[in-house]
Amino acid sequence: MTSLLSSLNQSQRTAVQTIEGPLLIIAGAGTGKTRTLVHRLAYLVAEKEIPPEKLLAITFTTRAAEEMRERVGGLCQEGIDLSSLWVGTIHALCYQILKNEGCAVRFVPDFEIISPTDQAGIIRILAKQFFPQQLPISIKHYALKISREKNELAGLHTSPAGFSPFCQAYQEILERETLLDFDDLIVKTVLLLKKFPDITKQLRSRFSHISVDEYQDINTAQYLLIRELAGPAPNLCAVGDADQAIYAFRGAQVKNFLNFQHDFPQAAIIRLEENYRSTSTIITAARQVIEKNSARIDKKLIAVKPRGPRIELCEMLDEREEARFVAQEIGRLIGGTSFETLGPARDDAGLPAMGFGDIAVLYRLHAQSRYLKKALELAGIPVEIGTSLSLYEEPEVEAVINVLEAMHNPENDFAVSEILQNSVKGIGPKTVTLLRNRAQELNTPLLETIRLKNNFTKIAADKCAALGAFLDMHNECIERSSQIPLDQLIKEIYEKLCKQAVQSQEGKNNSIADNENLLDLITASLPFSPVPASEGIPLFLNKISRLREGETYSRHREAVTLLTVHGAKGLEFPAVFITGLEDGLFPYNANSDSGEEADPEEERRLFYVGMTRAQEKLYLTWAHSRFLFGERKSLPRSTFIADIPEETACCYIDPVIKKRTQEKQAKKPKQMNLFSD
Amino acid sequence: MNLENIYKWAQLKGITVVATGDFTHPAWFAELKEKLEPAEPGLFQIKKRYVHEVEKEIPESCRAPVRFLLSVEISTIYKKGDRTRKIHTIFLSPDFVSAGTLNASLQECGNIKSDGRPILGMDSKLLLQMALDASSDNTCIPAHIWTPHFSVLGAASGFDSVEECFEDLTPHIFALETGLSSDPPMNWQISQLDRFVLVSNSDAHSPGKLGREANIFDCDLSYFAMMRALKEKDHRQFLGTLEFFPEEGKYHYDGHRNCNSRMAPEETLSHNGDCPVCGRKVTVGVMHRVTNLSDRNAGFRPQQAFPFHNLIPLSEVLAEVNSVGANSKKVSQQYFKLLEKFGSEFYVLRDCPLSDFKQEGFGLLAEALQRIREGRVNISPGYDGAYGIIKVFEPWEKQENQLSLF
Ligand SMILES: [Zn+2]
Ligand SMILES: [Zn+2]
Repeated sequence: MTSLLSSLNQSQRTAVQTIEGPLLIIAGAGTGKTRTLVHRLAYLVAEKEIPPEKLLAITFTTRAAEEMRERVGGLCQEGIDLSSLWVGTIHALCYQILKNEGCAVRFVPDFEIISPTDQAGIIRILAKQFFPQQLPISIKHYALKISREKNELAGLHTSPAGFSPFCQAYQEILERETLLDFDDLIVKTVLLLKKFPDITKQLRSRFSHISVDEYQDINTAQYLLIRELAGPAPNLCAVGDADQAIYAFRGAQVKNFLNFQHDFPQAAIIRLEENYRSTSTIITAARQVIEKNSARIDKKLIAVKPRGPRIELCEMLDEREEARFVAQEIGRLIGGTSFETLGPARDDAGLPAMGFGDIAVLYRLHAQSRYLKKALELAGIPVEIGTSLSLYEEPEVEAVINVLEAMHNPENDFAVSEILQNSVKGIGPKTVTLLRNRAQELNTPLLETIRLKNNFTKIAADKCAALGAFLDMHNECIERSSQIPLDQLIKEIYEKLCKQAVQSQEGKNNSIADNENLLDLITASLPFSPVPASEGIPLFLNKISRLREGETYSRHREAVTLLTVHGAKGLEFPAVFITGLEDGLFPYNANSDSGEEADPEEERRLFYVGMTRAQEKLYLTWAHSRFLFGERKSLPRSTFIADIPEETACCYIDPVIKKRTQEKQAKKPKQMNLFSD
Repeated sequence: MNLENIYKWAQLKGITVVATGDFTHPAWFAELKEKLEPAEPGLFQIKKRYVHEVEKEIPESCRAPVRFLLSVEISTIYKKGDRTRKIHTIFLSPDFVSAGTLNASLQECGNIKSDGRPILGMDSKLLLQMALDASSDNTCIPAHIWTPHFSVLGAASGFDSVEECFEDLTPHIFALETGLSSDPPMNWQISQLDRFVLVSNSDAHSPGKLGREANIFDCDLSYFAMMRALKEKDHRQFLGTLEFFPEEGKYHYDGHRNCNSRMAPEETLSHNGDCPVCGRKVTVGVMHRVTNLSDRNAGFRPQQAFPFHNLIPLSEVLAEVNSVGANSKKVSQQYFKLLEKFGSEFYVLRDCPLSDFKQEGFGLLAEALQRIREGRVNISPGYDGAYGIIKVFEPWEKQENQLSLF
């Protein structure tokens, strides 16, 4: 036992040993929250000899669940079987309950989970129907709308009657197809437990101890579910930090966390306040920032680490200068990436040696990442960006691959219809559907159907011509494939596609030398290019499908991480840049037409989360003007910057700004002279 | 740099096989594929139609066949054993498939499209594994192994041995590049390097800098014969290297360029590694690092060692002889005059009888070349990024010589 507890500090140890009754662990950033939870589970199993199947640990992400299971296993002695320990996300738990208990009592049919693409497809169609006049808003926006509506109504309704017509229509489609989305999993489970007390009773007796991580980020439906599972006098351990609640836009309610004591008056409260992650400089500044909020449980955060270098407040001319500066500073943190960038080190002595993987660049909106990524890559810095498409998802690359697929297997109707729909001028979804139906009637592959000209009777003359051109292209490609290697064939296919394209997208250069994705595709094909393309194609397609499954060398690489502040939750990096600190951008002020209202306290919490990701070195940057969403805007410096205490910061001004001010000042006296003359 | 220019300068310099560099860059790779055609095994020649124009700029006396060898230098930056490592390695390929397959793998790990040497955030050992997976004929040579910041044995971000970097793949490495800042005798002080053959390349970023260092072969004209000569340490087929004076390299001694403090390793040690001017740690140079890793005294020569010869680029010799800048018009005029009269730069520097120069009125040059061939020069070593200075004459000597002209 001593070994299990000896590596913990006093409050962590108390938290681990408090196993009876409700417990709220208020865990500030970097205070060893996960560590405490892991030790607590191990303690319950190994010391208190509670059977693992009686424990339920709810995590925020699947990744966190995997990590937690692994770490608990590492702490327990060998021979203890943890396979029945229930660690997972709340969605995974609900899936299990619905599939087992829910189906057994016929509360739900034997459902499946809707795939993200199908969901997007349904939403796209419905959005066109219900909101024809405001189309440019993203699918994501409507998905969120549905999600919030469902979660908020979770406790109140047993039928979709209370839903908006849009949400109701969506729900009807799902029910017809016996599909559930992620929100349904929770909402339906709550309803199940309310309707069938026996099931609830059975679950309550199965789980003797429940722990919930990131309690500040649960929404109403999740809250209701946890209350149902826990019952009136539970051994429920909720862990979280109200200051890090950043998911209100997904319906999370920080009040659930703040109300814990109200819900469970007998609850014990333990505060984890020793921060092991960041320098005291960073902690001091972060504390100042968050203390401006009112909806919070007051707590201390005490840095264990020494002071470290100051926070750099960096004033930039525009987003280009900002990106250039970030690239330059990364080079400096690494200690120079090439002979050209080797320079005398600026004085933050004591910083540990850094690799690319030690550095993160954060921003409020995905849209900001484009310029940063470009600038870093230009400087030769490897970049990892969570949301970027893989090469094989880029539209022009997909188009070329579809042509190769159709050449390889003429019966691949999917590939053929994709080419027709996306790459052949004059052919739209209607014509494709028509052709597909015809193909089905005749029981022949789509390509073969097109080849039989008499099938075109219902199709206009110009469309017939387009289909003819498509067939010609296909035949030419097949002919060429026995004469030239694959890399050259890809080039030719791309040129043919550009000629046929629906509209060569404006501003987009069709020359291969300028199309980076095409260059990448050609490089990827090089291993299969010593033979004629006809032999290279199957090998290449096989390789691509393996790459799509994630079999690449890339998992071994180290790169600078680019991600949104939301995406950085739970992560830590020796050096962190938070960019775009301008009022309106961060704190973000969503314009009214997007329908999201901004919560200044949540933005401040988000900034706090960003700051506390940094272990050693923190940069905060803003720009006088920025090109974003199609226009150049000048926004004032973020109000957050003024909250950084002077003694924790140092200022850096873009030399371009300095130069401009000097030029302005140099001009002034001349003008004075003009007047005095 | 384009291929036509490399073709021209290889002949001016007297180089038979020249490395293409940068084959990972997609645009350059496409140009190589377009303009080159296979010649002897593993080597390429430029297609005739691309050299009609440039052929005219090459003096009759220098014309010779030129072969290209596919190559690239890659920079890796990664963490191993809690330290940041930055290693440059050279890869050689005998054909476009071996090279292209490596490119395809590299692309999965990062960005190889940006200009300049590609930087990858991956372990050098994995990079070697990828190159070998792409083709067992690919060759890996750790580059300029002593530069402090970007090499396998570098003081700032390298390792203490080649094995520490490449682990169980080390046997696949048979050659090391000494780099501009080291010469073979420095490497001979370290017994762990005995099993490698030392090679020298120019690391040229402009055609005029080709041949600053070079390797001398007397084997069949083929990639495979050249690699075999190195691998088997065949003294009849690999004849050794032409070397820059290592003291001219930017990181020979220790010191601070900004503080004007240049120190030999022993001096640095007596100052506890601090700069006497500013008090901060000095940038440690190659000599210091060699001293630290050495297990033999200076002057030791292993039995297997290959011969080497020190060179000073002809334009620098002419600059000194004429007391003008190396990029001056006068130097360039004389340079081409000499090449037209006698032959390629290597021939002028190494083989041409000195009496020939005297006959043609290049007396002072003949004297300079004789001293260089005999290794009698004055040396101020480079340090902390500042090039060293190699002088053939004492200042007073030249004054006297100039006076004697009148
Ligand atoms: Zn290099
Ligand atoms: Zn100094």
